[in-house]
Amino acid sequence: MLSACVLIRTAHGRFEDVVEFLGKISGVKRIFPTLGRYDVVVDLEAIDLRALDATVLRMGKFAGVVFTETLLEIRSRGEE
Amino acid sequence: MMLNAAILLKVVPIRAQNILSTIKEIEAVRKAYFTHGRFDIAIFVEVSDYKELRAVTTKINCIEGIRSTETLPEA
Repeated sequence: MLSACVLIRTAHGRFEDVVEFLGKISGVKRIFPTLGRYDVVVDLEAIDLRALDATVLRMGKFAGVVFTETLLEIRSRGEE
Repeated sequence: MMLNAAILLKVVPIRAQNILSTIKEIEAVRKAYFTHGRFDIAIFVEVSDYKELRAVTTKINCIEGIRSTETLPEA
């Protein structure tokens, strides 16, 4: 399983919609609103890079999402 | 009711492996891994309250080789 931390900035006042919608997407293990540079944090898991790519692109297309920043897990450098 | 938070770290490369291992030993840490992008390590923690979150971030900040931390607590 591949993990990624997706940081999302939402449109003004839309973070609740975004959390509700994105929470239903498969692979989302954890999702919560936050304060600061971003509005929503997503803990995402996917079977491979292709699946992860598709999910993040889907998230970016949701109307309330302004931008996403994905921190992709590096396996080769860490412990298995 | 548990409180989620993401903690994003920038670290000194030579210390990276030790830092990740130390972080994984902290009880509140649910997930920690190296990442590509603006940060070097992403951490997901689950704590009971802000006080515990502060204790966890303080512990992480004390690890040698940490250049910066950015904590995104559940709001």
